[in-house]
Amino acid sequence: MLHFAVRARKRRWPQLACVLVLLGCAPRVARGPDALLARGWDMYRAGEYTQALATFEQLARMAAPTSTMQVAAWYGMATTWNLRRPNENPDRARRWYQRIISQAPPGDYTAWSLLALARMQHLALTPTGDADAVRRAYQVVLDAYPGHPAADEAFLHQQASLVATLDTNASLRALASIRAYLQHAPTSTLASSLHGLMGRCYNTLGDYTRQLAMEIKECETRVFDPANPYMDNSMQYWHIATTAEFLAGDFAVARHYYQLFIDAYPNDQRRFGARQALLRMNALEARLRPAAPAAGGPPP
Amino acid sequence: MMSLVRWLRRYFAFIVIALTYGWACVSIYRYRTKEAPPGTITLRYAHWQLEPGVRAALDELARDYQRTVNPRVRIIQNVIPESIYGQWASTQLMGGTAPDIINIWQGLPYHIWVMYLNRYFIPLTSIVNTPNPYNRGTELSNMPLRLTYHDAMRMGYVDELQDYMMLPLSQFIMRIFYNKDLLEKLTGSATPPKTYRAFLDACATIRSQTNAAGAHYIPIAASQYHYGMWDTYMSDALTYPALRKADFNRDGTVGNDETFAAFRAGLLSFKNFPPLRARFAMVRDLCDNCQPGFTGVTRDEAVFLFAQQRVVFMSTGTWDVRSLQQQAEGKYRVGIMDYPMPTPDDPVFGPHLEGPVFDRPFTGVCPAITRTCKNPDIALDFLLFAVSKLRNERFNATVGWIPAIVNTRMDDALRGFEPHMEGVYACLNFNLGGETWVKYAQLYALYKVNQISYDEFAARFEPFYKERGLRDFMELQRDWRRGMITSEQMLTGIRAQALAATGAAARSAWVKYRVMTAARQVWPEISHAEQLQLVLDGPRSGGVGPYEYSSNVLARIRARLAAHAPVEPSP
Repeated sequence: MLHFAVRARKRRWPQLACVLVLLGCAPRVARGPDALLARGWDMYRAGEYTQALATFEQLARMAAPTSTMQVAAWYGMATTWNLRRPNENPDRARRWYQRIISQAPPGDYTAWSLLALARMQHLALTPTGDADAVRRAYQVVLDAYPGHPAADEAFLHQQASLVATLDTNASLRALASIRAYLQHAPTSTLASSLHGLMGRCYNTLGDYTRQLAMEIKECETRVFDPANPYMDNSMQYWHIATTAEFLAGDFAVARHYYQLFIDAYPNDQRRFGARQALLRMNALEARLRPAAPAAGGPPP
Repeated sequence: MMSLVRWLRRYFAFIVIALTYGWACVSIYRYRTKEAPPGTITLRYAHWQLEPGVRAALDELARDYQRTVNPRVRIIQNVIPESIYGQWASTQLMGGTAPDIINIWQGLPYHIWVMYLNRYFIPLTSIVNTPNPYNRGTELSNMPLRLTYHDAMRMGYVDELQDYMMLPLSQFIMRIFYNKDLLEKLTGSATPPKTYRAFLDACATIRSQTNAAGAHYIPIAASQYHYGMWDTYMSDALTYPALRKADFNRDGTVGNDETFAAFRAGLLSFKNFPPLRARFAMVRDLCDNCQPGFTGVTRDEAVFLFAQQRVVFMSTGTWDVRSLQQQAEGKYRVGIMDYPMPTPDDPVFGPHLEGPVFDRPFTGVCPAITRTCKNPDIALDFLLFAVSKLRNERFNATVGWIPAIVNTRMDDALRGFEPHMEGVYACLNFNLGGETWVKYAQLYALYKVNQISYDEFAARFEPFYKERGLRDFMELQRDWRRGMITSEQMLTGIRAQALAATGAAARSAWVKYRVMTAARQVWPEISHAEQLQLVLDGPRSGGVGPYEYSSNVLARIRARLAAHAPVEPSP
């Protein structure tokens, strides 16, 4: 019997060796919860959704029930099912988000899950779809988590969807809401975007002087990502200057911003246009000042 | 003895395989040892630059690095032909056998490269705001790396990833190259024509003469590859006045939607917008001076004509400087000239050309470090060395390219051709995709070879554009809506980073997140609604273009002037 067992073990040593070799070759995966969470998101960002899901699931299994780590894992799973392409599963994503909202203690992940549900509705919206239902979904986030970044973002999307109708009544509603919001939180991190939205509302309403004022405020309150080389004020300066010149007829503001543009962006293709604009305004004023002949059409 | 023979016969095949395998291992080991002796650090650098001088310049750079910085480092170049570069890069990256440094953007669509950069390359964002240590002792010593670039390192940044991924080495512009000797022989002047009319006169003189074989000389060598440069740098600039009529969103350019809306609203038309007619007239002039059948010719065939001295002018990028000079060596001299533009008093083009043409220099040769690199710190150090002021200048001088770094000197051949950074640019875009664009391309090809006139082009294209363009435009809108999910994916990834980060890293990630949310999700929603309204309902301003004064604005200005409001004249 012993002899048989030894022989059997001898026969199996190649298989055993293979298993050992394969174990040695196996990639070393992250073991700790933090490392697993980071790895899951790395996989998600790299578009490796199957691996991302597997990692989040592993984390969800090993974390304590409804602990922050388990909720973070659920959120990762919900996001992956929601946004992976192909093989997305919106129903499953929705169930995971709802599980977070119902089972996890209120916090970052519950707030972002509520926003994610609203975003799912928004992104699936067709031109003839129910835009009011989307706005109500954003309102749920606002009511549940006032002051939270997810709620701020919900407010931004909600108001942008009103502004995007390009309708005067909707613009008036958006203006009132944004004004109230900014009164309550004047230094909000969204102040620049909200001023920009107000500018668009005034454009829809045909009030170009106020539009100009809002565009200037949008520019002044802008927050920059210092590492992004594409992020500068060139578009804002150009926009303000042309709004001032052609819509508001405020040449002082137009001159100021064209000059800022010329000084700050020597390599921008619009610099030539900015110089032309300065000459054009001088010429127009010279033409209109003495006797004001009937004018119109293109500038000289 | 018999048992040995039997054993050998039985296992002969295995023995041959084992010996071959052993021989292969020894050969590879010896080859690798010779290439990189023990104790050295080998960095493999893959690129497709087969142009003369590039390999020599990189070798020189590597030797310089080895001599002055790290004697243990060996840089080995893998030069892969352009035609298979994409497939080669894909297999190497996916197989995990990629070299340490790879030049990006060749042979694959942009979005594929972005995906590869995301998966297989190391982000360099953490170093771009610190000075390049190899600029020590120069005026750039305290300047953040990204600001030492002419373009603030834009070409090293990948917007989709929100990260700097590459350290570009060179800058390029387009110019006209000409055969100096042939120009002198045929026109009697070695000085290239400076104005458009002088250029056309020179072309006529060239065309009227024949070589020893009786074949007519050709003024311009063109091909599918080359012709677009003539359009970009000459005829397209005539459409700049369309900016005043069609830049409805006031961003300083005219997009495909704005062009379409302006045509549908009647603000622009082929018949009633003289700059467009002038643009096509210039295309006619240029095409009539290219070799017959140029629209079906490849890049190499056009270059061959130039090398054969049958052609005087050829438009190409400054990346071709050295290869054209080498081809001409001992046979003829190559000159570089600027694009000859019409003068303000030109009867046809003068009224429409509002200024010089804006140059679009772009930074290229973009190396990135792979995640499989065993010595990423050293690979990065070598690239920093390559983009330091002194070394970048030297590298580009050897290759004949323009340095990517500021305050560097250009190659003598390019001196005097610094990019002109102020001027006019193309302001019409008919590309709505789909059938509209196919129709435009077909008719434009016929126009270029003089098979249809401008009026015929207009009559056949404009009604089709206005009618079918709407369908293609709506498809573009649907594409945008479908593509929003990609932005949502990216933003969720950035948000996850922000949620996991602490302190300054968290603040930075949140700023990035909010900025991108506004730029990618909030504003496009509104601007697309405006585009749609513009296309379906026409501009709100009636017949007044976005950069034209309405009667209301004129009245306001008059009132202000009448009230003696202070007016500061611009300097």
